[in-house]
Amino acid sequence: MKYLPLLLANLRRKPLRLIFTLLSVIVAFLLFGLLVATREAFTGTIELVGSDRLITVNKVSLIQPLPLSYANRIRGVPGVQRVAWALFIGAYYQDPKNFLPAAAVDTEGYLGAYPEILISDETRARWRQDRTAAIVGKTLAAQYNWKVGDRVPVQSQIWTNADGGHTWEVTIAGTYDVSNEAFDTSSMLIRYDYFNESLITPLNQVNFYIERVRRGADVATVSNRVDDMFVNSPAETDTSTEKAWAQGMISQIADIGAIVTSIVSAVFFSMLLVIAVTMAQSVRERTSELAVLKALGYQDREAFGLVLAESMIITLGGALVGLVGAWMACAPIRARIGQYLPNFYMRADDAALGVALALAMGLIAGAWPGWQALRLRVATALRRT
Amino acid sequence: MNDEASSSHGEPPPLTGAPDLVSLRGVSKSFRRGAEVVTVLEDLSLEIPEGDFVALMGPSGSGKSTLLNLLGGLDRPDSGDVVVAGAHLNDMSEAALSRWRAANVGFVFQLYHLIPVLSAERNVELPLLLTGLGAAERRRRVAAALALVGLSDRARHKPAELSGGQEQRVGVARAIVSDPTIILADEPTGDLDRASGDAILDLLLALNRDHGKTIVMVTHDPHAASHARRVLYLDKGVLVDRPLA
Repeated sequence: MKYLPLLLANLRRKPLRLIFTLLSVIVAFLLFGLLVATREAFTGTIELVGSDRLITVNKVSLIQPLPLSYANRIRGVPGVQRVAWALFIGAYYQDPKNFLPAAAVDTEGYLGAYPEILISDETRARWRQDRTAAIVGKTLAAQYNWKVGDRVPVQSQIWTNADGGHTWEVTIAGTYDVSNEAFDTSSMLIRYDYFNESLITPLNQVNFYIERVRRGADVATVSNRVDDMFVNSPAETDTSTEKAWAQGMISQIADIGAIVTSIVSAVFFSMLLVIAVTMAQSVRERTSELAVLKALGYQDREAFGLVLAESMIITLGGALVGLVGAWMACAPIRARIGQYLPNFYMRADDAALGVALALAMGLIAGAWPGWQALRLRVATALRRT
Repeated sequence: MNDEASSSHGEPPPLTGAPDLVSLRGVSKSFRRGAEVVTVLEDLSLEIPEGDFVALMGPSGSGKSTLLNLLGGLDRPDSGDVVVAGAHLNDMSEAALSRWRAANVGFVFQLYHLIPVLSAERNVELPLLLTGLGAAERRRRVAAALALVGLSDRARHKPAELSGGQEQRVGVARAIVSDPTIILADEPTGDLDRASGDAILDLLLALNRDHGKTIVMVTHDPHAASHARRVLYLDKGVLVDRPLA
């Protein structure tokens, strides 16, 4: 602490250079924070999804539907405890820009397959009694200020109803919360029977099945049994664990982790060079001052430590500001894109990684200038000035 | 081997009978300049008693600053022994030399060499940061050192806000703040006008006379040298009996 005034005075020596260097570090760590939040939004919840659930989709692609009749056959597979299904609606609310994550599901089966979805008994009763009823996640309800009993027009970009239109009127039965952060609270769940029967031609098809596997049953065996049952049928199936399915979905978009790592590595490498050059220049400019300090009795390691400390103050200070900025930016960004990426946030361990990277960057960037200060020969340096 | 000059400023006469603080025996030092080896000091022997004030004169390149660096443990001889305040500097590691310098040596430089971004008091405090003294005691000693050089009212000023003479007085305060055994001054008045230079010389004289500090001062200026108890002349790396014309 006693060296702090000396360190701070040295840092303030060239205010403009300090400001620009700090800004570079701040922007780099702001970017780091937002990128790890993006990665988290895409991949962070995969680890948390249920390991006792299977997802069955059409072997061709998720878009290709599966017959509703498969439900009973899957239900009969040994090891399957419950079966549920879902159909994507491709919905929006009022304006096509307002994407609405809505699906038509079988109410009881779906709630049985996903005990993580928490609804009150009253909401469950209303959803069960009214064919047009829908439950909405608390985030979505708050976004549009929907209340129980509200009639909401849900428009589909995919399906046409019996009237030749694309709008389904649903009644808000209540909101749901979740017990596991892997699940978002920004979706709408419509009753499958209502949606299917009001189509211009009842579809009797679904996009995917969800199977809850009995405790003790071998997940891989159950998965193979389901797929074997539909081999050589017009709609062959592909069954996998929910985790593998989620990973597959995300990998269709991109390898988010690799992208984040590449960008962060490039930015940090550039930053390392900037700070190293700044520190080297700073040390070169005050060779005589370092020599005088050594003449006064400062040891080599103290000269090294002073330079290293300056480098680390820059990186750590900039990193903390950048990381706090990123953390503060996550909430408003999540508010805007929460319906697509509800888990857009910076995890504590990612923030800790950022701090560790800042320390490492400070150490590496300050090492060479520090070494120069350490090796400085007093008599030689003073002779030069 | 050395010549003692009489002083003309009413300062005390040469010391007699005081124990030697500095003892150099057969010291040689050379530098490599490209392929050429330049001998700067050659088989030099010298004793400086405790409480002495020695002016070291000689032409440029005669080895004055090199001798000062050897006395301050900033450089090492190629051969010979350098003993200062009982410490055999040749045998000490770099870390031990640094510790020894912090405790025993105060440097005054021609170009002051203050840290421009620090105030006068922070500059003076620098040697004390190496001690185990608390902040309050450091402040007390810094205030005392600045008072001694007459700069109490400039404590918060940065070097750029001070005159050359004031900067050098801050340099002297920095040299004495840790109460060193010996003060080594390299052309302390070389960058000052006559009046400012005289003020610095009076200060050094007072430190020697009133506080018993041993001072070795390198100078080109006979007027500055006349403030010392005795004057040594160096030429081509050896001490000579009298100054060259």
